[in-house]
Amino acid sequence: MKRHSIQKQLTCLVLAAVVVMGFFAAAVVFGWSYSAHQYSAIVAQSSAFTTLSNEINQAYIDLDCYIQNPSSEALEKYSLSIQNAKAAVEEIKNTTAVQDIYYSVIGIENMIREAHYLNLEIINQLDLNSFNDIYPKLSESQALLTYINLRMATVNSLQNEWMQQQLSQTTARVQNLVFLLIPLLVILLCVLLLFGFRIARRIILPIQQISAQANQLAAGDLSAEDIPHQPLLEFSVIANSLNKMKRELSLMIDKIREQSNIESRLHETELENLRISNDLKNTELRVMQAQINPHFLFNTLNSIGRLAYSSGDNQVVELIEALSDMLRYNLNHIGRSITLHEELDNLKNYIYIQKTRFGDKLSFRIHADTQRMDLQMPCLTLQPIVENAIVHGLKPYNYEGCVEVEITDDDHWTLVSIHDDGVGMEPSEIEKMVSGAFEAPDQSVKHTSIGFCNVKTRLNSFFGKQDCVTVSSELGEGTTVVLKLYCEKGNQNV
Amino acid sequence: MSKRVKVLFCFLAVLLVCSGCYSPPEDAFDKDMRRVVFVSPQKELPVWLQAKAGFLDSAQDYGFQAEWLGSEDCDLDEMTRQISIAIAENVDAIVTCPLTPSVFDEVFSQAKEKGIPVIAVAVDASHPELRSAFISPDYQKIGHDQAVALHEAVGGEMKIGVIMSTFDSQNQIIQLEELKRYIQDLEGSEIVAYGQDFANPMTGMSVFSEMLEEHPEINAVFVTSGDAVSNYGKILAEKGLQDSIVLIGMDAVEENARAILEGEIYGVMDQDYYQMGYSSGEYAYKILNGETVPQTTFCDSMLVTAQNVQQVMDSKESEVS
Repeated sequence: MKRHSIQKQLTCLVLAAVVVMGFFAAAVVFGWSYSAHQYSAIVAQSSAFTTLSNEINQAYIDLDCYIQNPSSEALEKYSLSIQNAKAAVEEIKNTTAVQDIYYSVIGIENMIREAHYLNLEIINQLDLNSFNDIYPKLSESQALLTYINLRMATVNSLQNEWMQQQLSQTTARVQNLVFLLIPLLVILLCVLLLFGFRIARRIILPIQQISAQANQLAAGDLSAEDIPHQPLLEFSVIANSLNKMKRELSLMIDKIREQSNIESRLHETELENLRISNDLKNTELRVMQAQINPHFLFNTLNSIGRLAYSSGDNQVVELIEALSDMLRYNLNHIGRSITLHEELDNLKNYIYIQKTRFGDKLSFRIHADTQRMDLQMPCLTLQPIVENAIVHGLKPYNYEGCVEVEITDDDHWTLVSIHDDGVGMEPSEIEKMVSGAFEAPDQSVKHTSIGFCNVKTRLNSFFGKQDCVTVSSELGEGTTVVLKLYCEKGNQNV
Repeated sequence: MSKRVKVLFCFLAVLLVCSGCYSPPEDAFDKDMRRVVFVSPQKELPVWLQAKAGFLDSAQDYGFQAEWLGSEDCDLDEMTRQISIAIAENVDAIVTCPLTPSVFDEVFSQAKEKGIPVIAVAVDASHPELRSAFISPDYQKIGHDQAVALHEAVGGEMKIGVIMSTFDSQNQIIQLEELKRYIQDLEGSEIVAYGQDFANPMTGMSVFSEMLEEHPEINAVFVTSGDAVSNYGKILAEKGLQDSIVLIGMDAVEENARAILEGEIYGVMDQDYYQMGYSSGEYAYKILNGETVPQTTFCDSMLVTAQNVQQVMDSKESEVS
């Protein structure tokens, strides 16, 4: 779309006003000039008529003076008056625009000429003849003067009629000009006002839009819509610049926000690692506590084992072996990854001990349908969950129940499901247990919760995922904890 | 400033200067035309205004300067003075109606001396050699037609009252003679009264009223002037005599037409003044150009009654306009 600049539009408006006003001025000057010429012609002709009348009558006064007292001075005066009268006649003939006046003045001119001839004859014969001899010619000349004056009266009447007509026409013309100019001037003003308002609107509206946009930007609101298309070039440039600035600012802020999020996540990860490290240290501490006099504990267990073997109590011997293996596993593998197979072996030792403890009330079933027995995982992950199932799920049933461990493979992970048919939990209890906020009145139960969270944290950290442990439970139906062991390990930190 | 703007401002400046220098064009007219003067007896009388229209139309058609002069009320001295002035002005031709021909002999002679042709209309000069042409209605015919129409309208013996503008008016004398000739064979018909109104309506009213009072036997009025005819009709209407007295006057002018339409008078004899005016101008122009024109030309005349008055008036109105 073609855009016009403000300068161009204002220039066009001013030029249009100048042109129209110029034509108005020309019309006024034209009317004034026309009327001035008309008035000038009227005044000139009126003056010429007055001169003619005065001079012809003055000529006869001079003639009378000459007849009474002949002198060259009187004769010169007479001649001058006649010349002036003839000049006035010529002027009227040359300037009049009225046909009737022109031809009437020709008649007067003829009469003046004839009267002058008669008067010259009278003057020439004045010395030669008596007054009685020249009287007829003098009478005839006087009659001509009367005729001239009569015709002058007629012509004056025509002249007055013409003057009246001209004045009426001039007045009417001026009135027409005024009547024409006033409406045109009003229309012009209206058009100029209209265009002025239009241009002002075209200027003010964009200014308001741009101001609003600038205010929003100043207030930090980058969600405002773009300034719409501006028809004026200058505003279009400003609007496009502001829109572009807003978009770039928004992009920049998004980048900063993203960086901030990344840093925040990094910080959270560091905090998590720190917490895991802290948990590990606590675990180590507990292990260290458990390692107090380990030789003493092993020696004692060996002594008990030898006594049991001597007495032929094989069950006690196996029990002591299982306990020793568990202790050894816990002491030797803490802080490093082990295979699923090793973890299952440790779990079996634990199950054997518990079976020995609770007899047939407590049953275990392990179904390992996996090809990934060498899958790396943190140590001490299955045993605490199974222990949790026994202690939390089956204890209310006096440790009577079944714990099932089922291992299955998927494309990208191996699932280890530990299910008990114990009391189950309410969703709120599950949530508290998962979040580590579980507060049990029994210290052992609390320990269990801590163990569960420890397992969950270590698994998530080990595989670099957040969905490694899921819990589902129903009151009276039991609890199922599913561990997702990813084939691709994320973090080797156990 | 762009080139276009400069050009625009220059154009406006030139326009303003041209507007300021403007002077209205002078009305162009031919300054070498012949001057022909028409000195009418009553220059504002409607019938003579018809003649004026014809005269000005001929000036337009033939291209001469026509000047319409005359007296206000049949003032013969004023008429002769106007003619004298025209002669002193050395006009090219003079047209006039010498109501009393002998009064005009002197000025006609002066004109002839200066070589100025004179056209007589309606009334002829006392001597045919004093004028170059004579254009007129045929007053013998008018008088005869007027007498016949009067007789037919009365339908029997006529006791006639005659009113003339002046008893020495040449054309009216001719009309009167025709009336006399017509009634001399009609048994019981006679002229019982004469009056002259001097072409003055007020004078005419008193003259006519006295005539009717002195001669109650009058049943026909023969009027040879046109100036007071409508006033005569009013008198007849006021006296309730419009049905018992038949009046035939002269000239189909507006007032007379109204009197005919209202039944106050029977009718008028109309003269074609427009044709007289036109032909007078035409003849003057032709004489000045050396052409020969008829010495005597008669114009049309007709009886105007209630049957044709509207048609005649419409025709005259279109001629004058």
